[in-house]
Amino acid sequence: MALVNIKVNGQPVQVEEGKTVLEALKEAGIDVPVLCYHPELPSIGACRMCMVETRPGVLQASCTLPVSEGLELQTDSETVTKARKFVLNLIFSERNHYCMYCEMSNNCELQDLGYKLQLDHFDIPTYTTRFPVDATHNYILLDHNRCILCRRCVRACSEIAGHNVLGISQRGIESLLTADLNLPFGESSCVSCGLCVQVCPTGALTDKNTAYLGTRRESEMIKSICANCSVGCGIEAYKRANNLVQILGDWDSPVNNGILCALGRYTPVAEHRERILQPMVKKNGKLETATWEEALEKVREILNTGEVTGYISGDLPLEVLSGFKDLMKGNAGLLENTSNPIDNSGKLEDILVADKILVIGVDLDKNFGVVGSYVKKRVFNGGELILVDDNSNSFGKYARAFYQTKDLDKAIGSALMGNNPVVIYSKTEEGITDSLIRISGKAKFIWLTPSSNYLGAKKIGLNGSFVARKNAYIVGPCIEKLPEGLDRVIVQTSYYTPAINSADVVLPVSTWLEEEGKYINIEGREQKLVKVLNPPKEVKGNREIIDILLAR
Amino acid sequence: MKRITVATDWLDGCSGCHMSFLDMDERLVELIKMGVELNATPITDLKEPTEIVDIGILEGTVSTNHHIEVVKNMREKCKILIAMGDCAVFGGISTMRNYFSIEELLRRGYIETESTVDGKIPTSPEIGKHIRFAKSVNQIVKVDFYIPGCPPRADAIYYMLRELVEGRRPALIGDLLRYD
Repeated sequence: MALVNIKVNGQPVQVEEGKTVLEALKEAGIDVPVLCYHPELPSIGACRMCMVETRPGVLQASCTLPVSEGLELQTDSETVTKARKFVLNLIFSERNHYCMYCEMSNNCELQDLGYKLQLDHFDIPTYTTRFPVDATHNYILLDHNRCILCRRCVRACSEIAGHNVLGISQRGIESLLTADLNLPFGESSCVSCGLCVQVCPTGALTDKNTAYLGTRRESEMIKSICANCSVGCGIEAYKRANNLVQILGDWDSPVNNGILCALGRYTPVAEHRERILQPMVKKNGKLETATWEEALEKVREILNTGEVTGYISGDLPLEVLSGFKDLMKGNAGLLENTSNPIDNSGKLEDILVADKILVIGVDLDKNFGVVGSYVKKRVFNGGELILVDDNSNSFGKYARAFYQTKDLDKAIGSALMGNNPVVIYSKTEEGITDSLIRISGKAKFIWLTPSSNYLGAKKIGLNGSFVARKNAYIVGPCIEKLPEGLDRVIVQTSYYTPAINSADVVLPVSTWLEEEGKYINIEGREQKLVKVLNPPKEVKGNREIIDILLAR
Repeated sequence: MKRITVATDWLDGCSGCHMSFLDMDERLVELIKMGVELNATPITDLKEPTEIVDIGILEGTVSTNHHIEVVKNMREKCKILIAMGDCAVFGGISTMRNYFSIEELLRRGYIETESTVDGKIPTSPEIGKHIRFAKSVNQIVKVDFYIPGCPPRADAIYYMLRELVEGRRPALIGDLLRYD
């Protein structure tokens, strides 16, 4: 890369050609205030906070100005500092930024800059116009009063997450953040990926479920992965006093690059299922709370019959799966009993360069939302989506062709016209896999597995066959249904469901946020789940229980 | 020792800033030992400065024509004027009523409040009349120094006064500059 010579405050600096002045200044360790700039988003120079003086009296936004040979900059001349403070004054005065009762106070980039630039009053009269508040969205509160029109959310929604829901309506002082064609946020095509909230520098877009739990700065941040599906997105989990405050997408994760879906970002914080907090044992035909000693005694009694089959959810860490397999002496299988002869050969990034994307039998706005983001991004960049579904599918509007499953071969034929097609599918009925296996080698496959660690389970041979015996030991976060025709049943689970009423023993265990261990995602990537929260007092870890039973 | 006279007053405010002023605790004594003399303040219960004071301090939003008079009077009676607290500095919480008409405001406050029976909007000529928009002090007169905060930290008020007493120009930074 060629170098260009520039001068910063009189000092010569060498910078790689093609960089922006802001990037060059950051590298040189010079602090430049920014608001609309975000390192993960394309720069648009909207707020003018990052202005530098390129010739006496000439101010330019450094985030959009490329470096050029001989460029001379002043970053803290009187003109620059005065102009920045004036701009900040304008931004503060345009709408209603009442810090004293804003939920985001102490967690706000606008406020930070006010403090930094020592803005101790406004020169311009403010607080005269009332802007609307849109509370129609399930998860997100949109308060236009706090909006500074930096358009970070718009860029995140369209260019990073690929959803193209947010935009700006009107012009000038009447500009307003808008969902779709001016629909209430909750009625728009928003899929609740929440990336807009993640990048919002002020309190304009906030998470409803996070309100008043504490700010990010007051919370502890733990980097982990989401174990809600097999994509395995990187997350930044914020916790305070052992409460989950907020989940953000991890920009550094090679899987999701900061994007999340509602399942990863919002459902864990909005969790409302009833937790099981104490072991339970069946007494006189009814489940009653018991001590761990009683419960484990009962478990041993059932295990000692030697007539037990293990069923475990593939949503659990590898360490739990392999421990359970050992405990059951190999006679264990997955609750999600699926088989698929085709190996995954594609990575998510392959979607971004595919010319044809064949999506079969899955609505990516409803499940596997981050995969949906990748597909949308590619479609807006010229990729062709071929959709196969017997039901209505929210990706229908993006598809070049929409086939029924009976015409799968036609769809495959059309996908194979491309040079580097990617096939994304979730169902593994023979009709589908038989057709797909014929084109292996000609396309990259991404099977969206039924449980988050399915490929991990497969790796240790847990997806094989087993003998169904009269007693069962069932392990999974949320057991909706018990296998039929069983004599005695042990259930090891986190959430209460009507199905567990017919169990003989119920052992309360940690949720994924309280567990740790390895997961293998749909790309074959081995990732580490890090413990975020401590489990409730009487609740044990999945592996902990298995170890106790193995040690008998 | 040089005598430095200070007068304070409040407008449409909650008196929280004056509480913060009192929160200086023993540092108030320290300031008095440095020559500070409290003239008219809600604390001394004198209504108006009896002379031209060195430092005037105002808390609260300018909400009525009465407040405008108080502000103008204070400006005339002091050499250095300080706006204390978010209301005096930015307009503060009282500016929320700017989004409603004065009629709506009075009706809500005196008639429609849940606990009110047979409410009546007071009309005595002795009570100030609301101006259309509640304002910060610097929209009425020139303000020399600002102490934002809701309320400002006692540390910030102390710092401001000590710097002025010792003849320096105060500039709030770090923990002393807060908007909430």
